[in-house]
Amino acid sequence: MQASTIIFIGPQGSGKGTQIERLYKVITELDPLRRVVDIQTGRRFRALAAKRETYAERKIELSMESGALQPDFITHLLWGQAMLDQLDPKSHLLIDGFPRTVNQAEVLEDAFDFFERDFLHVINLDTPEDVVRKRMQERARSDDTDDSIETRLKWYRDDTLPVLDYYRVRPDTAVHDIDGTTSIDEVHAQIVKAIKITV
Amino acid sequence: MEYTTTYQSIVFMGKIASGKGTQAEAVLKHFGGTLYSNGNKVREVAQLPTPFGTKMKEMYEEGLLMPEWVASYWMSHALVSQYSSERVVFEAVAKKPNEAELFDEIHQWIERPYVVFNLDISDDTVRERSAARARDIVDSAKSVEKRLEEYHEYTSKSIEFFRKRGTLIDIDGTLESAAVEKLIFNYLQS
Repeated sequence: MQASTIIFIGPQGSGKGTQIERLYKVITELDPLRRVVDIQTGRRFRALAAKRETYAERKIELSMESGALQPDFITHLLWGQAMLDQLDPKSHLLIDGFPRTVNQAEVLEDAFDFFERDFLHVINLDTPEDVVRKRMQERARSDDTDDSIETRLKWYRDDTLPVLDYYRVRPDTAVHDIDGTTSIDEVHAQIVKAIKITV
Repeated sequence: MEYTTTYQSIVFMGKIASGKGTQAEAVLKHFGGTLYSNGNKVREVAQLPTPFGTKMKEMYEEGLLMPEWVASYWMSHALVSQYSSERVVFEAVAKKPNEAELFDEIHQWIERPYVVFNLDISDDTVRERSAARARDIVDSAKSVEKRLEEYHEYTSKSIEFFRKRGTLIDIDGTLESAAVEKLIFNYLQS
């Protein structure tokens, strides 16, 4: 199995975190000699905001409560740290939570180049807004207020959907459109089939 | 530390051997703070026996600018977390125009005042000074020419960006270092 780079893209509540966990397990079992590096910026954002020590951390917390898109440089700070500490060209890499803008995708290219990662799998967890709204209301995380849900859906439409278009024309890239409305097991099966790994 | 200034970030820009290191040191000595130098950071990580360290060592020895994602990450990290409440003196930062824009954006976001000093010298002065000091492989003629090329292609555009933002102060870098220091200190205290 070659070192793979897999980017998960989907609105909040589309099940990215759950699917990454499942895929992580499968790849680890299939290829125990390689490290699987899993970078999820959402979790890292929440951990940073919870610290509330510096001006920046308090500002991040406020942005999270309102659902506003964080500045690109804060996102970069989180994935940059993770890559610098853990990544090398031989590891598998699973990504969730970025790139959320085309600008972030362009900066990320530079890091992919550095770590010699040409080929990308992009998993598009295609999930209608109504389904996502319902799921987010049900999971009741503290940053999931009605207003923040709507704000996040809006920036997903405006800023993140163009990232998918960016990857659809990028050379050495396979964008896999996955129906995110089915069960966790079914979505997982679709992903495994799409990236052609055998269990 | 006998002087004070309201600037929390102080940046030195200029060609190789324009005196950035000397002036940064003087400011640190008299105003206090921490030195942030991409050059030092690269030299530091180039010693690490990791995939990242090895790659950075190769890039450094070839005289290439460090990858944008690393430069941006280090800069964001320094300003947002590591030195958020300290004065930082930057030597050799924001060499590429998008790094300059990012530098400005971060400062606005965290409401941190900054100033950029442009130590202006000619290409010939760079060649003379580098040959005279021969500090390491970076001062070799080939590396100097490569860096001058990169300066004209990228760094000069960053300087223009800061000039348009109104945060750049031009200093004649051919003056004696004590005279340059005096101009800088006067500005910082004004």
